[in-house]
Amino acid sequence: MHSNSEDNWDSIREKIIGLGEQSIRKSYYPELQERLSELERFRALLDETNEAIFLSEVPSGHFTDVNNSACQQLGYSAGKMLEMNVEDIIAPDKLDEMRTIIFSLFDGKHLQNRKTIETVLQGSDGSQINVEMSISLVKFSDAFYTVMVARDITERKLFEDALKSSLKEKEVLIQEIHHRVKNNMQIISSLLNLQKQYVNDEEAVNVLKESQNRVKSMAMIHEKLYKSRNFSEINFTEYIRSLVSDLFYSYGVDSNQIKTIIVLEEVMMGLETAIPCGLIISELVTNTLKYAFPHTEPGEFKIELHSSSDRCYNLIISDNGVGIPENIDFDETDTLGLQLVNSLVNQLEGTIELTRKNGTEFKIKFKELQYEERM
Amino acid sequence: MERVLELRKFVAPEFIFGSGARLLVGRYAKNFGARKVLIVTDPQVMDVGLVAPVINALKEEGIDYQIYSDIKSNPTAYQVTEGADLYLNENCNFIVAVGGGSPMDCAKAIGIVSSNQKEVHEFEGVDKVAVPSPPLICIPTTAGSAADVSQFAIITDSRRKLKMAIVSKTVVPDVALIDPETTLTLDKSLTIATGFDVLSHAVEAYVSNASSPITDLHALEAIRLASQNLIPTSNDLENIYLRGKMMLSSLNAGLAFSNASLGLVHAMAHSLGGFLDLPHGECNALLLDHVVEFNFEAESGKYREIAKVFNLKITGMDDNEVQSALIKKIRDLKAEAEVDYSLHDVGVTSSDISELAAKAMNDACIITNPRRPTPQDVEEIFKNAL
Repeated sequence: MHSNSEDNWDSIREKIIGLGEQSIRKSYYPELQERLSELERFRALLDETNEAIFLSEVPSGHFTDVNNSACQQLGYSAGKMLEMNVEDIIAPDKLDEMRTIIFSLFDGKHLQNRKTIETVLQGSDGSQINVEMSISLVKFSDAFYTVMVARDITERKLFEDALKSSLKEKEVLIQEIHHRVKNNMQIISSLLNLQKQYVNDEEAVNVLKESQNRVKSMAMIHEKLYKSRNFSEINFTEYIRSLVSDLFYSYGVDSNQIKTIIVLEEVMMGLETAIPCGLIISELVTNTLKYAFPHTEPGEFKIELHSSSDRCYNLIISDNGVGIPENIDFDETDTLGLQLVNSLVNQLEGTIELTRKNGTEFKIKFKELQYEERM
Repeated sequence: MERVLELRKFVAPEFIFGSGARLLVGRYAKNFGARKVLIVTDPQVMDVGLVAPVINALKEEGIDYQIYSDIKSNPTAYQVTEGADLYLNENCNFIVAVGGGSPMDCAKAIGIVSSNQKEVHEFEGVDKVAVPSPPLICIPTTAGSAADVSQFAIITDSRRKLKMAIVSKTVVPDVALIDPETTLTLDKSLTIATGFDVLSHAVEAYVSNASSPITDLHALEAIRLASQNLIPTSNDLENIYLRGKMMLSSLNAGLAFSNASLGLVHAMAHSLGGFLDLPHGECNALLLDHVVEFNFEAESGKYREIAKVFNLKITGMDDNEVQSALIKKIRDLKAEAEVDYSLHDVGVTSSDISELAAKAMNDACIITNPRRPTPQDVEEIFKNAL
């Protein structure tokens, strides 16, 4: 304290005597008033929120405080609620779950641990309200309480249900579309089959048969899709087995004559990649069946599919037949089948390698294609 | 006589005086809503068994407690901070001080530091406390400081080597349980030192320029009781009757000085105590007669009344004669109590005096001294006491 100036000394003396503005006797009242106003403001904050808020003693479960929303939503007066217990407002089939949560919090004395559950409250008229409730344990003095904050999620539940049924509808629709696409392709395939019976030229029969098989290889993918109920991917391993067996049947090849070795890893593949890949396999298998063993001598056909971690695939199709004649340049070929294979490999952004050693071996490397948004 | 019409205020806590008063602490704490009490005391008080009955009284009411006893005489700002941290960490809501001036002043400071969340030096001066401390009950165990009824708390700032005076009506305790039995264990030297503290409180309050007819009543009664009973009590330490008289003297002096404030003796004693860490009562004893010598002319009428209460026959004496007689009386008392040594004997040297005087000039107690001293005056008084 600096006591240099006369004025200062006089004003300090006034205060010592007790006549200064702040020279009041110790009183808790102003502080109390301030805290009360704070509490009132806080009370308003609690009452004006839409969430129902409950404070209850643990372990008795008696309510010690509830906000306006809690009373309104459940249809009790505040006075009535304070005579009640947590168990009085929970739907009977949700009681066990509630007890378990409260006692696990209480037993562990988990003060910082908030649990959020979906449960059902029961109002005074027996009506049930779906709520999302967060429950936390607090401690005042030496007593434990739970704070429960419940949000009415009836509307959200309705939206969720609507969303689920709309999703179901779409699934059925997509299934139906794949079904119809497959059926239409089946019809095209049948038409080609009929057509085949009305031509005598062997070359024409062949062309029709090849076209028919191409259509079938695509139809099969749609069939796999709607049967699996997974509309984004098909089990490509299964597909290859069906396709190969179909082609063998189509060309009337006895599996005793051409021994088939299938080495496939389990692969799920998107539609985007599966269709071109299916066509490639169809072409190359057809090629083997038609040309590799011209004198129906016994032989071996092998198909392998390997995948690596970054969704890269290695497809190897080989046979020990006569091999592709040296005069056929694979890159500059004018046969439709091989042209098709080349352009499909390009579409897959992959590479193809032909080895003419003990027959024919095609090695195709490609990646799973990303689905591209159509405009 | 015009002083009768000057504005004066009298503030005192609720207090209970008498044997067994301290045992009411449980009831009072409960009525104030105490949940967990911080008991502020010191090791000596605990050793003589004055804290255990307080704890039992609290326990009987089912009230939890925590003890802070790491207090030496002349409590420091550091101890206040430590106590306030303990108060907050232990989630206490009530304070009980058991002890002499040091634990009680420390408890007052712990209270305001914890309720205001400020450093203790921010309260230095008059009326600097915004939020009152939590409820505080004081149980004095010395007949001296009267901190249990006063608006003063004196805390040592070790860094600046001085005593800070915190003066605020908000540090007046809520209840004082004044039980003379607690003083039965005081040894002779502490009995004498605290006795001179009472005497200085009473004399300074009586001649203070903030005194009032009400404080005068208490001050004169305190001087009467102290002058008659100080020496007898120091020679008969376990006489509860004499202890009661000294306790009553301390209470009267406390009521007087809390409202009229003090003067130069205390301003100088605070400076001295902060500088050398000497017992407060002893500092007062060493300075009292020298300050009377300086102040006499400013309040000769009042000093004549003091002389009468000291049982001096002053009829027919002029002021100079009364002054000499009163000073001689005080010095005789000091001699009888064996505190008739000088500041030099306790380690003060002449080179310390200007610093001691400067700090005394800045003490709140100097404001109400009946005669306005200059720094040179204060230096002169220190020199006289050397």
